[in-house]
Amino acid sequence: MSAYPSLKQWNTERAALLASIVPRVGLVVADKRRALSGVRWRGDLVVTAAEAIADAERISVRFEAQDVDAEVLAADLSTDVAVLRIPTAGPLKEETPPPTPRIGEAIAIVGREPRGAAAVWGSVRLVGPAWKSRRGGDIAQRLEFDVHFDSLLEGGAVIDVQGSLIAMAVPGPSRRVIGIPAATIDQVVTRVERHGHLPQPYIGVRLQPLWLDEPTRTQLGRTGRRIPVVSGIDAGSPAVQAPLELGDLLLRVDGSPIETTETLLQRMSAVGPGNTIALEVLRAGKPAIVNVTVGERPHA
Amino acid sequence: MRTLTIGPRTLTIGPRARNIGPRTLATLAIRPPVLVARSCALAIRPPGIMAGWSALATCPPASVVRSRALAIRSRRPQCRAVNTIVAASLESFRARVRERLLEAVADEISTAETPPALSSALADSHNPVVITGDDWPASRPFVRVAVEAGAPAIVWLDRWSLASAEKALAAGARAILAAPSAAAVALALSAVRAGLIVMTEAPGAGRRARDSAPGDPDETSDSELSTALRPLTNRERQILSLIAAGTSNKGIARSLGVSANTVKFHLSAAFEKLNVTRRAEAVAAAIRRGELSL
Repeated sequence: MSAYPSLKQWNTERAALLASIVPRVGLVVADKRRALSGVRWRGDLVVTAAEAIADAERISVRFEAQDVDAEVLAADLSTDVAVLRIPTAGPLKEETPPPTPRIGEAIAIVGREPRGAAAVWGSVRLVGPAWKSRRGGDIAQRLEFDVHFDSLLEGGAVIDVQGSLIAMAVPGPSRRVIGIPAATIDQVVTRVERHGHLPQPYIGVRLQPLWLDEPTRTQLGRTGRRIPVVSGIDAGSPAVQAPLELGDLLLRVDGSPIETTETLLQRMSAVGPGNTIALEVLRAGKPAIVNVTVGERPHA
Repeated sequence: MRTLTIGPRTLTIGPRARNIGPRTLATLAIRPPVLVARSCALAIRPPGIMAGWSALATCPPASVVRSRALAIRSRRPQCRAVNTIVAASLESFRARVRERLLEAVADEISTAETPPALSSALADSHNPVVITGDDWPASRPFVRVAVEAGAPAIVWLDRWSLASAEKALAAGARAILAAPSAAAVALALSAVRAGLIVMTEAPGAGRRARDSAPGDPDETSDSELSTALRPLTNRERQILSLIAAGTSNKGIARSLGVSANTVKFHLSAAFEKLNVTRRAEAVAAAIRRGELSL
């Protein structure tokens, strides 16, 4: 009979909780150099941190016994979600979306290292609203955890005391640990499942910056000294349909002035393939509005 | 026929044109003509509204280049009397430049040791051109004085770096030379007097930290200069466009019918030209340079 029955119970439950998730957490090795964790999300799809594996040539994944080669279906840097396909399937039942965690709640991050499964316990440090990552990705919730974290746990599963998978753990700014919420991961995985890859927004124009001298800059009402000009149009692209023409000077997209190509790219991402953007251009010296339906980059 | 109009200039684009290169866009410049010589190797572009560097073309012999420059010069009556001022604090540099100039031109050459000395020399000269160096920090005060006085400044770098060249141009220098030969100096002087801007291509231009001075932030790899000097090949562009679509190297190899190693090889070459180390950066840089569509 234990002298401390409550503690014993507590430990038993802690261990049992983690034991339930360990089978779903795998070791991900990129190019035999970088090791991190990954989570079997759905069927034969494994999710891990995109930033860590984006440039790797070969990825292998290990759950219990041996390493298997994984195919990278998508590495979305805007949400830091990478989706891998492994040959050993195991259809998992759809999980109901987990409840929103509350600050102060206990969580565990479970990962797998070369020597075995690893876990750390911590608590929810911060819960905030939806936010946009530095690369323009939409993340459903701001989740930060107060937990001792190292690079091997990157990509690991964050679970609450109910055993629900609430997020994937990734390093954040100032050595914080942030979680990519399950909802965001679901969105990416669903799109990858549907298309086999993550479709990238595309309109099919090549742009070159023209430098404006002072009088022209003032005349056009621009703040910066550069203006993009359409210097190439891909055959069969959305730009041909619109039509955009060689020599069009791009002024605004959906009302916002286009200072750099980044502005246009972000707007295309925000709107997404299948939807339309309104480009205000200067054509042969005269303003015109061209509506372009954003398409998908040719994948193969 | 389509037209592109910027300010007072109009460019007509033929009906079958698929793309506009940097050279065509350069004709929008306010001041023609464009004198292009490969090298020594010099790329010259007119100031004013400009896009990209005029592509380097085949090089005529130095004598032809000189006579063409003279022809340009003769159309501008104010370029009669010539006067070249070598401005630098380093005596050895001044002596070296002077020697090269004596081989190259029949200009009257004077020197200035400090920026104030340069100011007074400029005030006394007729249509002067200033040559300064040996690196960008040493040249900067002299370039500033020259620009204020309205005189063209030539920066002579003993060690060329893309970062220094861009900084010099931004400060208003009209020519950047890298340890030039006599012919190059002569050409630069004529071109600058004709109102053109002269840039030198140094071997390995576009490569990063190895050429830059320590502490030089080299954020200019996506500049028009870099694009004209080392454009991407068609294969590299093809591969980058598949990378932008999210395809893995293996997928690209399959698509293009080449080995994965070939893909890696082309990718490394492209990364080097774009001065990046990662795929996402490569895509962004190529788009910025107008070599990949969005």
